[in-house]
Amino acid sequence: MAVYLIRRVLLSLLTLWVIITLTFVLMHAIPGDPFASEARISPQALENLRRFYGLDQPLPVQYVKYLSNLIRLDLGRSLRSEVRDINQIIADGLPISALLGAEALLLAVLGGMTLGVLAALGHNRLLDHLSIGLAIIGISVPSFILATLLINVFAVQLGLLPVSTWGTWRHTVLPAVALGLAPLAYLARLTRSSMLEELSQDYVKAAIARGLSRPRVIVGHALRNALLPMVTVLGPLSAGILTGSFIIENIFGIPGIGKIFVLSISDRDYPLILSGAVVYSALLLAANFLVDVAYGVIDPRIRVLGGAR
Amino acid sequence: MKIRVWGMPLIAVLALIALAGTGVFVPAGAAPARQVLRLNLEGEPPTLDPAKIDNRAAGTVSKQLFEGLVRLDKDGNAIPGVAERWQVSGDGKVYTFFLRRNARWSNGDPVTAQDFVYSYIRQLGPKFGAPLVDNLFFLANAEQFNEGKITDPAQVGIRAPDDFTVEIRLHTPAPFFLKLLAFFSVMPVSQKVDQQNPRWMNEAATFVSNGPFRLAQWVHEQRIVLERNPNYWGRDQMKLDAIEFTMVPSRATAYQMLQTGQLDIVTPPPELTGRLLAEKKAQVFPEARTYFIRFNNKVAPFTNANIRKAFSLALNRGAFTRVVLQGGQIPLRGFIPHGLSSGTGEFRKQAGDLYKDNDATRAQEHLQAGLKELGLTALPEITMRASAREDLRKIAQAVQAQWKQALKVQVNIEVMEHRAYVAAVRSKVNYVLGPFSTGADYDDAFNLMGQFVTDDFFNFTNYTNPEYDRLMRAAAVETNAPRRTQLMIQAEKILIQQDMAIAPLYTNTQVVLQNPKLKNVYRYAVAEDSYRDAFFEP
Repeated sequence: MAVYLIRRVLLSLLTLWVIITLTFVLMHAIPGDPFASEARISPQALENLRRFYGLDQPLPVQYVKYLSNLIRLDLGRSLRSEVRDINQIIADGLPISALLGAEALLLAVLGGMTLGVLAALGHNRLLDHLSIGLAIIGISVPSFILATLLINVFAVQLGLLPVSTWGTWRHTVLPAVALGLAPLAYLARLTRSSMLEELSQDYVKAAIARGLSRPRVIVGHALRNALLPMVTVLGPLSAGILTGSFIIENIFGIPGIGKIFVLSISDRDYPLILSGAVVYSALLLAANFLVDVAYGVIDPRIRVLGGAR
Repeated sequence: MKIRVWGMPLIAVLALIALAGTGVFVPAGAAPARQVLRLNLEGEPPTLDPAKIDNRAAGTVSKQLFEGLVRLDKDGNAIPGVAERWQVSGDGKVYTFFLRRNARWSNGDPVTAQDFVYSYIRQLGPKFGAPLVDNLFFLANAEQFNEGKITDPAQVGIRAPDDFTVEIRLHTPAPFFLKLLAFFSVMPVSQKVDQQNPRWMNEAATFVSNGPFRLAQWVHEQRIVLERNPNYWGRDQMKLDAIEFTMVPSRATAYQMLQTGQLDIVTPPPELTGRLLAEKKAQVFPEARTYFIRFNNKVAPFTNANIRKAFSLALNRGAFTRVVLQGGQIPLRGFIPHGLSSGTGEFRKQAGDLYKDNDATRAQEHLQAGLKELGLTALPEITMRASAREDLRKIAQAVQAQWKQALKVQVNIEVMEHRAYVAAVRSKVNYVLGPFSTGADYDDAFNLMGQFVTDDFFNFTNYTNPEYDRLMRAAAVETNAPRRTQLMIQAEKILIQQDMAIAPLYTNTQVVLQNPKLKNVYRYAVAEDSYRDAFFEP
């Protein structure tokens, strides 16, 4: 088990290094630089700025410098902020994005699972059509439209919740719903199809024939097996949702890092682009690792941990 | 088994309830007795150190926090700021400012002449990296000091003969210099504070300023709160107690916040401006920024003045601003935007119209003449590059349609990501034509005209005309204001009427929706808004 863990961690670090290197090469390959704007910033001032941010040095030097800082867990300075370094920007923004993401994820998992199971049980009947109809709406309506609609109804017309910004739990309700609905719909459809598949399996028929109660068969047997594909997608899904959404953060004025990472690309904020890649990949690698562990817990046939020599 | 499957969601629900319980319930509609102005900054300012700021949003915050030697009255004239009076030498090169004795930093220290000397030298330092440092290049030896060619700061044209006198020497007279001293980038910082703690500007607790407001709170990416500076010399003239800036990037959301009473001033989203202006709910203020089509004067067929004229005269700027942009933009018949000064008055009014808008007949004549001069029967395929930024993309699509209609010319559009587009234009070679904008940093036409001088760094158009260069060189050193105005008017005639180096489109505007009870917000075509004298009517 220890060998397996060490191998996994080393492999993850290698993946991270490849991602950083690729991001570094790609971001310097796109034309335009952080100071190229319509503003008439004098050539002298530009030169001073490049020197101030260390962009006047050759790329290999910048690359080595970045990596050596990264090993010391120093993500460097953003061009976006004179007053906070990137560690601070992430420390400020990531908890906010993660909290919102967690709420949305919870909504998506609970809602998606319930809808999916209900749809599968009432296959081709009204309940099925209703829940799948809802799921299709959730997938097809873009989050920015949903967000605007939610603001208009619940904040402007009904005055129940604040329009935007961040502060109390009331501020999180609308963005969490707007963020969670699409994954909810996706998970509902996924649960439905894998649930349908399990319900048609012989072991389910056998269990019912043996006189086990229907709820017990559904929850204890079929659902448990139907969860497996859901756990597979939950890894990447949570990494994505926890690192924030550009659109939702933009519309609701939420001080998360989703917005910051996306804007870093159009701003050519090189250190921040790299940090975005590092944070996102690290989360993704961690989430995938957890998924692998979760497989073993849910389905004893997949003995990842125990099976490794 | 059941417990394990259903247990997870249960824990999550409990967690959600616990989360909800920690929230502080804020009662809505509690009317504040204080006068608090609530504004939207569309993003977090990179810094509030006036010397390091490069954008108008951060500049606006900084402007409320600091006060320069002069400030602007509601009409944009220079009036006493920290300096209560001043003298200008006969040759227009030496300014002597006498500071008021009761000007104080927010920590109670007096604002001294040494603070100004220190601030300007600090900003001019070659390693400091001030983006708008060239606004100080009018000072004698300032540019050389910034380039590192001079290392002794005493040679730069600013000194403090005593604690309350600042003497500034310019290398050439600049009639706009006084107004420039009200610009956010040349505000002073406290020498004592900066030397004791070079990171004073990073937190509200250590932030020291000398303007009408002081920084009370800065929650990054969320909120900036300014409170009236109790040490400001003019505090008794002020009525506002505080300004609260929130940071909501989406204009649609900010508009909803205005409707629910959470904000007092917003810029409405572009899709609503047309209707709001028609219903007289929004107001329009000109901004000294020209939008134009940049022709690459070194790439065929735009090497030919007749072709450039054809493309410019074919445009229907009136219809385009009214129907497509709908933001009250003012069609331009010259290069210098409306509202910008010549030093003797408003330049655009003095220079008049240089061509007729929507002149399809003349455009056709110029096109034929141009084709003949180039020895062509038809134009080659032309590809216009454009930025993906909404305003520039809309312009590209509109002018493409108008050229097709008026000139029967098909121009293809290649949309690029904004910074890549700007990089293409700045390369001076990787574009044929494309929409662009240029805005003034200080209130003088000269500021915008320099970019068409042959060897100017910003001459991305590749325009060259020795007569234009000569007129601009003459205007730069001319001390007689009316003569200087005439030189610039002549230069603009050559640039546009004779050569049509670019196709000007319109003067940009700021569209504003404002709480009707809010009064005395001063807006300027060039400088940042001032809220010093603003107040709410009961």
